[in-house]
Amino acid sequence: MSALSGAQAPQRNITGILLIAMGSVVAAVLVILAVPYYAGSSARIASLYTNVAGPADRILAADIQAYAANRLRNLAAAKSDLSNEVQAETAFDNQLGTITFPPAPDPHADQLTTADAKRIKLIKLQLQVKSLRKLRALDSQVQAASAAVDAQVKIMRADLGLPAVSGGLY
Amino acid sequence: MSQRDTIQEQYPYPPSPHPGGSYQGAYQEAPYQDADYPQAPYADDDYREAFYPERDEERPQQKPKRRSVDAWMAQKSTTLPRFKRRSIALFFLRLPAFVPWFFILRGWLSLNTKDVLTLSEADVLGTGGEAAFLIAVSITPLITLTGARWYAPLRRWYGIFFALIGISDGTTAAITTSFSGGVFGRLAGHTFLVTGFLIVLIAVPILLTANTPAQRKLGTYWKKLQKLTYLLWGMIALHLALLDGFHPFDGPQGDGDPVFHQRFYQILAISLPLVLLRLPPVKRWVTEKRAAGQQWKVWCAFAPMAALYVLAFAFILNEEIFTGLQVLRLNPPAN
Repeated sequence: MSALSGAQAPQRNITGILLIAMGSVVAAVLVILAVPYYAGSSARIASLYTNVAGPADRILAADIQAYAANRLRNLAAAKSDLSNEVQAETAFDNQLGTITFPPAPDPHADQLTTADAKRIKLIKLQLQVKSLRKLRALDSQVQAASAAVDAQVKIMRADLGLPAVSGGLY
Repeated sequence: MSQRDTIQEQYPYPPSPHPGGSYQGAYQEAPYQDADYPQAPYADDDYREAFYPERDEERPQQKPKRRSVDAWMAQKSTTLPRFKRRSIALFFLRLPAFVPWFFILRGWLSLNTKDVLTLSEADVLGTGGEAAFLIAVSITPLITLTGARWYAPLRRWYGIFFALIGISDGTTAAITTSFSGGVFGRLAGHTFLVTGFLIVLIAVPILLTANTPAQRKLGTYWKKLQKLTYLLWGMIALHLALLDGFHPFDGPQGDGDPVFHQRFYQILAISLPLVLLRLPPVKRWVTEKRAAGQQWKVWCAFAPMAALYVLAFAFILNEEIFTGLQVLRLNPPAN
């Protein structure tokens, strides 16, 4: 009887340590994989930003180009271009709001959204004018607001480790 | 000489006068240690009685060489001499159970201003309930691992709060969420909602019997009823799998750590050590090592699982605090 217990006891212990070893190996592998994954989160955040900024830039570039042509001769078309700009910028701001930035770029993302909101407000003023001359008169203010947005974008991209923007707004 | 004769010779005690009782050839100093439930009513603060008595295998047979943590915690506090150290520690360790309600309170009082409950109540109360459940089921493995029992009352406390938070989650969801189909649609309009609703329903009888009178009245059935906790565990994992799927999150949002925020992955990572530490061979190995004074081997063996547990739990708490603060400021995240 005692011989049987003696034979069973180490076997049970082996089962126990084997189960623990299996669990620990799985856990160790997962933890080891988690370290580089976590380290790559800033790159993934940057990727989330470019995924939002890229399409917005493409739409805005087309709208700005069209507006540059229409602002001199076609009020309705120019207003339509500006309206498209407002839509694209608002969509960008909303999507930017869904990204949870790390502490460093987070306030700059808010500042970018604020700067963008000012620009949108000015463009909406342009949408209310009734002549091309008045429309163009507001251009300088919009350009100043765009410069503020550019400055925030520059800081934001630097925070995210992205190269400075070339061609686009964001 | 027969084996029976040998035993009688070695243990010449008279037959037990109790029906079914027998000394089985071994004298027990404390015959109630193997009872299925405590014989005496207990207060929550009394960890020795509140804790479900473990089998002998969990108790080190050797006398501890130095004073145990339990003995230290049972002493009066030096700063607050009216209270035992254990009572003070338990008081503070119980407070986090209120956190989900603290976060959601402004949403309730403001009657769902800015759709704060519609958008975020499940994130706050659901995550809070999940955390309370996982804390409750972590207590027994932690006792196995450390041998200390002073925090055993937290199991009941967090178990009760899991059920209460779950009920408040279900009730709030039934009123405020945006699923179509009225109250029924909001509670059972999707598969993950059905599992969530079932979790609350199963939690109710466990909650109602989570008290000493019910425990005494139900006798051995009490433990069987409480084993529904394991069904709940599986249902919670299923609920999260149906909610988040088996793949990491995707899409233009988040904080760059979609894998860590995947709730199904989180519960799997947390459940791994908790399930293992409930398996008899593992419990036996841990107890043997502890009894042999080789606790360091136990810590080394469980270190990777403990790291994974902490990592997963950190992201559950991260979500609770992050979303909770947004709700508290009535600034819910856009879904």
